[in-house]
Amino acid sequence: MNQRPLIGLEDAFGVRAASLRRLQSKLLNLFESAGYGEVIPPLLERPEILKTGAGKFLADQTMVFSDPADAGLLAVRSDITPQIARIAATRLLSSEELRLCYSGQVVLARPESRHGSRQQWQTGVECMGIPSPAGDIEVMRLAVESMHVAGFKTPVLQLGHVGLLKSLVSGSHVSLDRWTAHLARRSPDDMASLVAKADLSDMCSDALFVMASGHADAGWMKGRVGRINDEFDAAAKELIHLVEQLQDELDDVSLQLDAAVMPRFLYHSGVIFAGFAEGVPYALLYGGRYDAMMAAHGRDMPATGFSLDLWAWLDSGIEVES
Amino acid sequence: MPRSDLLQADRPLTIALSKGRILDDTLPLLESAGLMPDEDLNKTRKLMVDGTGGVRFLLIRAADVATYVEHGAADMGIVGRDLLLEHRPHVLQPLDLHIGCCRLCVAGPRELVEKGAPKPGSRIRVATKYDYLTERYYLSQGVHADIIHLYGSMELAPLVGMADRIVDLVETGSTLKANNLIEETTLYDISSRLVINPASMATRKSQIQPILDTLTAAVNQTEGQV
Repeated sequence: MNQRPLIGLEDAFGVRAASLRRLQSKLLNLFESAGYGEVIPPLLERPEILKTGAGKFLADQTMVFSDPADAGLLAVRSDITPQIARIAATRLLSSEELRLCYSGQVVLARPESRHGSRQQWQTGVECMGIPSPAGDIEVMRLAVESMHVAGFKTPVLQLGHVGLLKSLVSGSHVSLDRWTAHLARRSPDDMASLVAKADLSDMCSDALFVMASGHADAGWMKGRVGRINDEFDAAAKELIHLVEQLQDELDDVSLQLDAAVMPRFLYHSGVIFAGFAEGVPYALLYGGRYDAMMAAHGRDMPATGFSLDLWAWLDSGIEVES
Repeated sequence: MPRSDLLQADRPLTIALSKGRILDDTLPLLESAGLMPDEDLNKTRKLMVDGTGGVRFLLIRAADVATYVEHGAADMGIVGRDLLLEHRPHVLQPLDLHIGCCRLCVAGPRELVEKGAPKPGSRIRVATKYDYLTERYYLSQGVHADIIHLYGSMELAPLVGMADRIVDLVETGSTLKANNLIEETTLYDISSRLVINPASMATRKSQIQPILDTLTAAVNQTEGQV
């Protein structure tokens, strides 16, 4: 019998399993008290559901196999949000507003950087039917509360807007995947090389260079409004307005507005955010608006949410009290 | 796996460096940002050295710097672009220091290179320590490349008939010339870069941004003098 461990997959038992369940329970209780009802989708899904409007990252990270009980293909889910989108678009049609939460395992085709793990215990919320900024503020508040409930000190929320990048590179032959990968590295030199290959206006090229240099804050954005294009203006105003409101409502988190904050998944189509905490060397959560993916699933409604990986939170060293 | 004290929130800002020529070029830049080690980094046998400005330095192999930064054991570090391209760590790369400049090249025996680049569909043997970049380059050329991984002295592989080409860093080209090898093409221009852990940049921005700004100004000033 082959008893070798599987790459990037592990068993949990004893203290670790108990800690995971306690953390999961704390977070689900928090979500429930905020009015979010739990959804439990299956582990397997049709590949096209997972890939609808999701970009290259998820397509590359999804394991697909043929279904012995059907003539089609099945995929092991690599992200739960597309499943929630499917459920909202096909099963929960009677409600105009949906507040849903979930906690389940996902498996990636290849290990991500965190200790080479391929398994994540994805836990999060989806807020549907509530447009920006109210929906965004609601889920960001929950994201910050989640970090506090788990015991993270001095949380930081970085905020960006996918529309800013899209407005600058629309019409470019370079793929959005490649632009986001470049911006995620924050390398002005690499950005200058890529911009030189793309047929963009001087104003757009300059904006991309500033974003890669890490200086695209609120002041910079305000200075560019009215000088690039309508899409840029709309995204910049939405983001700046949101951050101003958040500053009034959230006093227990440090907010960092940065136009170069990039989405983890390319189904995000509006405001996006990532959560960090002192002493943890990786992002604790990712979230953002994905109205376009809902439309792609056949139900045109605003949607936003965030998710985290319970394993990553436990590995960060927090103590989960019973 | 619980994380050790090394990664505690209150630890000093930690900078990963590697010994050697790059370090000699790096120290004046760090000094310009008020970051000076308490000991001579080239002479000490310690692997962790405190410094001024509330920082500490880790002295590790060049190939390990990005790993320490990616895992958060160091907040920032200095790494060759070749290693960043080959290993693709999740780190920010906000500053090209314009030191350690060289090129990542394909080279081979003069008689082979002068016959022209391998044709699409052909098969060649390539000695390199840059497996990923080499495989990706030859895939883009439609050439089947059998990668022979070596840790050093790539130039020897064609001489003993073990490889048809090498992919390696070239600075002056004198080692190639001494072994009757010539460059076929340059894949990337290489220099050393400042790298930063993304989470450190988010949570320690007030500490890191001034250092980054000062280093950027120092590099620009040096470049302006060239």
